[in-house]
Amino acid sequence: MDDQELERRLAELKETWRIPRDPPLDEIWQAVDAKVFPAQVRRAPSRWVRTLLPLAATLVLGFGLGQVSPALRRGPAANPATTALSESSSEGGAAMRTVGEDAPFVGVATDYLERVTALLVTLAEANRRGGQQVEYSTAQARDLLVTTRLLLDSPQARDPHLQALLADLELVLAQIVRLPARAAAPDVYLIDQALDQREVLPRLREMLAENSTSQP
Amino acid sequence: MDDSELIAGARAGDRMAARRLYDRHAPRVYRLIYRSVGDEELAREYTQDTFVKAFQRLEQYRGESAFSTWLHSVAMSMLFTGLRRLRRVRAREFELATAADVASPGSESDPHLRDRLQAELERLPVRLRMPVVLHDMEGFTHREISEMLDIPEGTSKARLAEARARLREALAGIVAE
Repeated sequence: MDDQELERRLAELKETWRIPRDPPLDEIWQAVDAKVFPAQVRRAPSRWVRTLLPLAATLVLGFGLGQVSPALRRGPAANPATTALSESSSEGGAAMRTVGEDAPFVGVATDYLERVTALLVTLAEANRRGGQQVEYSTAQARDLLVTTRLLLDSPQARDPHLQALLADLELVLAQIVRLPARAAAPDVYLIDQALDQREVLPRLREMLAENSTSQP
Repeated sequence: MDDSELIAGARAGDRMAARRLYDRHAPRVYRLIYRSVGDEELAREYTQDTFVKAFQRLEQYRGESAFSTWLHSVAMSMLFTGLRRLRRVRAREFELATAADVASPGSESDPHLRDRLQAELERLPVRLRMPVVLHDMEGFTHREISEMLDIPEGTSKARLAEARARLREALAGIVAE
């Protein structure tokens, strides 16, 4: 047997030799997580619900009743206060530009935030029921993740506050997309941790408040 | 989000970033270790050890090589440490198992070249088997292997050549048949 023949045989063998079954990645992660991040003690599930649910409800109401969207969609001439914020780019409320050509972007962003909120509400409710298996569309979460990335790449999303918020939501959504693959109930603590560490919820609240107060 | 951003996040204690880094690299690390040891329990243990050590020592990663290369070097270190420990603990069982394996008439008389090649590969000492696994099966370059195993590139090439020579020699009889 020459070297070429041996290489050919080894190439064949690599397709069949010691091919592992699906590795228990989640179990391994849990052990790694416990050792690497021991100080970050898991909190009671109710905390996540307490923190997220009121905010989510506020967001849903805000968007649903048009408390935010009209202000976002209003042009600069019609809304000097918002224009001033947009020009200054210094506040969270200016995150979504309100100039005329940005109207489609604002619409997409508003719709996106509504859908993200709905998804977070679904997760929060599942957690409140005691960590039951979450029932939601994987495709929906994946779609939101794609939208997040598109928004991140959009020239209209140039405000650093919005950029940072979208980047953090991307992280959270990426984790949510993985949840259905888990055999056990979803690890909402991890999501809670990410939301908490990155102060996603206070920033969302701030953005909501800024947009609300910018209305005439 | 690329590795460097996730590494920065993980260094800052961001568990989500650490998890994404893990998700990105764990499957290959696990497969590499499993191929090296051929045991799911050990593969799981060594993969776990690898990521614990990697996250604890993340500050030491300077970005001079790809993160995956650095991570695989940690994996190899954990693998060899684990195997040494295992050998000490199970010295007697290991010897018996090895002796039984060598004496197995089934593997000696196996007419199938693939089975025989597999048996011979598993019989190679780890220092020779690893270059075959890493180079011929996992597609790493000798440079990467040298970084992972902390050996000179020439040593990696020499070990691969020696491993192949042993395999050719062991299979010569089969082919002649």
